[in-house]
Amino acid sequence: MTVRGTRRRGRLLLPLTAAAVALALASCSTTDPGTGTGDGTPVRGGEIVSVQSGAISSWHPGAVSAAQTFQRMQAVYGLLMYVDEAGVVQPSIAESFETEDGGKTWTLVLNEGVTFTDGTPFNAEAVKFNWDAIAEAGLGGGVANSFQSEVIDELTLELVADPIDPTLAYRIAESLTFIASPDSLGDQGVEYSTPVGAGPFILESADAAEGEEYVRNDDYFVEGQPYADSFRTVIIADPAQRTQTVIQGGADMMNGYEFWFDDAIGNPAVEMYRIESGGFRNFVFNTTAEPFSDVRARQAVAMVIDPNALVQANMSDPTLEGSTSIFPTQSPYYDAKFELSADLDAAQKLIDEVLADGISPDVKLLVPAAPENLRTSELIQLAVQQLEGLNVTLEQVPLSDWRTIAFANDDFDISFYPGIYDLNPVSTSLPNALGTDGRENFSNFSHPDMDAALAELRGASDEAGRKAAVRAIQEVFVEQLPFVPFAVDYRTFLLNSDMQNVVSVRPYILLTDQIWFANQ
Amino acid sequence: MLLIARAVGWRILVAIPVILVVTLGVAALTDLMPGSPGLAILGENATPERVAEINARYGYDRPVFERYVEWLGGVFRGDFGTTLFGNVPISDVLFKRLGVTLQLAAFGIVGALVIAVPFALIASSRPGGIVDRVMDSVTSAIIAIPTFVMVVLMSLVFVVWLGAFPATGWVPFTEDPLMNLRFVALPALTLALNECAYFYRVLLADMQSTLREDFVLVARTKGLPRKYILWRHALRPSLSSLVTVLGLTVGRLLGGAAIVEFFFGVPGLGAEAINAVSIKDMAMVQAIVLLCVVVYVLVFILVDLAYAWIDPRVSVR
Amino acid sequence: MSAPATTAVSVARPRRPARRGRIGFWVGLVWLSVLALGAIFADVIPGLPGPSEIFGPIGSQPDLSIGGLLGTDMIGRSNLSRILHGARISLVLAVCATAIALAIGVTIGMLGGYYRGWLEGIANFAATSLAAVPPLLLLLAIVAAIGASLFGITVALGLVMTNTYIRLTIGAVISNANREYVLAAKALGSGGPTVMVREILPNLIGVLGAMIPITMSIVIVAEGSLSFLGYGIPAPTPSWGGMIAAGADVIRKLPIVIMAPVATLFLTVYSFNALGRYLGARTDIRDTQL
Repeated sequence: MTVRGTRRRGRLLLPLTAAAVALALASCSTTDPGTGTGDGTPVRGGEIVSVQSGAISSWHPGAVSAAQTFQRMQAVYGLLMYVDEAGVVQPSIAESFETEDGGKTWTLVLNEGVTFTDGTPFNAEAVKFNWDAIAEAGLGGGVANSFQSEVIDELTLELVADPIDPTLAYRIAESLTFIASPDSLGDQGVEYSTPVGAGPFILESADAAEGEEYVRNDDYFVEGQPYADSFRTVIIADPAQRTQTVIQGGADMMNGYEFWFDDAIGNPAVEMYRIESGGFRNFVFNTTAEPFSDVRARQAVAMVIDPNALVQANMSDPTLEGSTSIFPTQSPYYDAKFELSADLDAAQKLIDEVLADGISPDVKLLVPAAPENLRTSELIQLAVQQLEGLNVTLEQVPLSDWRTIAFANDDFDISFYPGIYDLNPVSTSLPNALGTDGRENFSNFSHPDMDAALAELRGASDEAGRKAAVRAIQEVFVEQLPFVPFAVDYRTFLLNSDMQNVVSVRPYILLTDQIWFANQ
Repeated sequence: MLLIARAVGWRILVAIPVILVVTLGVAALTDLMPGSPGLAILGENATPERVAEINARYGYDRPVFERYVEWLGGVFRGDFGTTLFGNVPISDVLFKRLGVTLQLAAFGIVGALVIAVPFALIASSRPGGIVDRVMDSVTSAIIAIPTFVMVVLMSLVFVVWLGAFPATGWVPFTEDPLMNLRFVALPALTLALNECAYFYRVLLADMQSTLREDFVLVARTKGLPRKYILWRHALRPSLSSLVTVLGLTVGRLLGGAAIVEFFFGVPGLGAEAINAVSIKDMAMVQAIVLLCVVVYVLVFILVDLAYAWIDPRVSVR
Repeated sequence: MSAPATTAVSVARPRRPARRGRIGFWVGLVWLSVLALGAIFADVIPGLPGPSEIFGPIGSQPDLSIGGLLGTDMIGRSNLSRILHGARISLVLAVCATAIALAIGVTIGMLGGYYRGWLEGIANFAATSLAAVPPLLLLLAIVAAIGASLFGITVALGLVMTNTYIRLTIGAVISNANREYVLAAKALGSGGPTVMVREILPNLIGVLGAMIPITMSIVIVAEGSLSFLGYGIPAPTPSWGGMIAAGADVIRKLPIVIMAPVATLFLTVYSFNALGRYLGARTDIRDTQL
């Protein structure tokens, strides 16, 4: 897939937005800003409050990770380009980003006149500076190391990808979309904590336990935006309490799962907004530690898990059905032959073999502390303990520390993953999840067959090629099982119903520059 | 004045060994961790380099006395070390959290007194009356409800059913006093309900015994009204046990309010301690214990001095 | 003044509280006995599934089967079974931790109270040191270091409760040490340890005995708090505190999941407290909660 189509759309996007904004401003000047009518005319003012589960760990533009970091960075840095809900790359601060030779060379053209909030120009030099810094610091999931860049002129940067990569736009939109002012970033690494960007808001103050405050950037490159006067985050560790906070009006937005939002049903003050693409719930093995460094052990555990029981316990809903496929049934990549099946006897035989080889039977099950994670993990523990010889202990850790402990420290054997893997678009998410050094590869999984299949995917130039590659990937997956899916689920936002113009982009964040509030 | 200064000085002197022993004990706890502390903290899949780094950073590779003395030296300079994952100076975190907990504790105790004192006065003046009997059952029941059950029930009633208070959150008083009061209300109310039961029973017992004393009999004989007797003559001597309990409560609330803070998202010392324990940040735990012990000691000195004020017969040694 | 007006204020110990205490005592005793029996025989009660067995559909309401008497939790396990097995943990923990606190506390207190002098100073110092740290904090610190095993938690709880017994014993021994029977025993040639164990200790049983139920209730609450926070006995062993924490998020959908352990915990703690109060314990000036 090339991004040529998007260029046309991108070309029109900016003038259209400008026109719309101009119209809006024109009508705004004749109405009192305090009485927004909610009829489609954006009204300035108000504060967007987003409730988050933890603090941002680093402001370095390469330290991109989960949605909670991404949302804050979007506020301060804006987005060079982004992946919209349909899985298509859209330029934002960039005017266009395209390749004419199937992914070998790419040309980035920036919008004119964009400046950072410290006055320095947002130009091709700045972009190259950031990407070089990220590459050198080893951040950004390795994407910055996969190409060379050259400044052509003030607004143009040329990239040469090595290896050839038709999907570079997605990967940049996911990992390299934040650009900080070079003057401000200097040679700092992850300790960079005074971000200066060209985004819709400016960071004013931050407290690691309570949240941060941001004010409108009046020089934001889109005239009239952001509509809100300020943006604020509130940090609350417990998901149930986050939900209550939004319902009671203490916050305007949170992202989570529908089954968290039962209390919100029927309440006119809040609205749910579901991302239709969906993903899967799973638990992860640590493939670099015993016993799950042995693929037989992983297969055995997969054979004793009942996905229906797991999903019912997880979401407290006895009517749900589980699924062991990594794609939902409506996805074009779904193939029923890749669903897993249960077989206790075969599983026991495998475990007996594994233990006979002297592999350690001690299994540490890491639980990110939250009631639904705990009961799902207890169920996993019960299921695994059906296998004689294995010895499972649960360990609870705070949700905010789970990533560090599981990902950075590898301190687990099985862990329930407190979220969903959304595999849309496949070209970035499959390598993230399954590739060696993938950004979401918690299991440290590394297998030459898988990497080969992933390379095939990257090089695929059309839908047929992609489907074939994904089939190959799934074949390796069901044999190697670095993680075990058990249910399909959908990310959902819980929003203040007065919030208008909700645009969601990967990875489940909202565009803060476009939000405005009715009934102010 | 000099007498008081001497009394305070003496008590502080006596308290110092306690503080030292307690903090040494906590420091020694780390040596009980299986394997090396660095290994226990990071888990067995950690690389040897990272384990060594943690051990070096906190001095776990050295004997406990050496480590402890160095830590003490740091404490006098105001340096408590750095947090485990964020590498942030502990002293920064500590004092902010302490302020929050103190505010919560203050509100909680005031609330408890506001509830307990009037009821105790009424109940003691009419022994066997309806207030006496009802409060006896109610306070027994409250005492039997653990804090962690209380928080869930309070949340159910005030947040889910009534929607009267925010579920969690915190805004510092200096930033927005009104919002701060909204957030402190429910946690403080929970604490107040918890503590008022004890305060009531203690005050009641003391009032009952005071009211049996001769001087009260004299007052009644003189024809003084009941309310006057209660307030002016009976309350003050009865305060001594209440003051002790108050003192104990303040010391206890520093750590004991942990559950309330944890559940309601109040960024206080107790919540920080719970977090530190879960990631095994022993340096933070040590610092919090030190703070709690010091406050406990100070509070008790104040309690002793308060005794002298309440009852002039007690002289300050 | 006429006599009745004055007697209205200066009244000797009112009768009613003693009678109230008696009802509480018996109710408490009955409840605790039933609980203990249920806990001991939990494995052999006919029709009662194991605490980890998936017994029925998740979140079912109570029905008339033995296993389903209190409904099922959000994984499908029998709440009644989990409560009874949780009772085992709680009661065993209570007894053992109290025993540890008694053993250590009474020994230290006895030595300090009898010999006085610097021994008493040390005993008081030990008690103060143990009391100086908020109990929950001390527990958390110990659990962080040695992990949350049954043994570790028992020892930790025992240590936390020790200071009460040290002080209690010192006070009681001092007031007993100059009584005639002690002086008589000494005159007859009994040495220190003999006097302490044979003469004084039996007279402490009243005071100590009153404190024991209170200590047990504190230990049960403390264990519940630890489990609630996630640092108690690790799963799948059920514990009341853990059940309460797990039920907190479905409290509106299925209140029985949290109400059953709450009610059980409440009744148990209340019973212990009532026992202690009847036996004469002073529950007021103690930090009796976590």
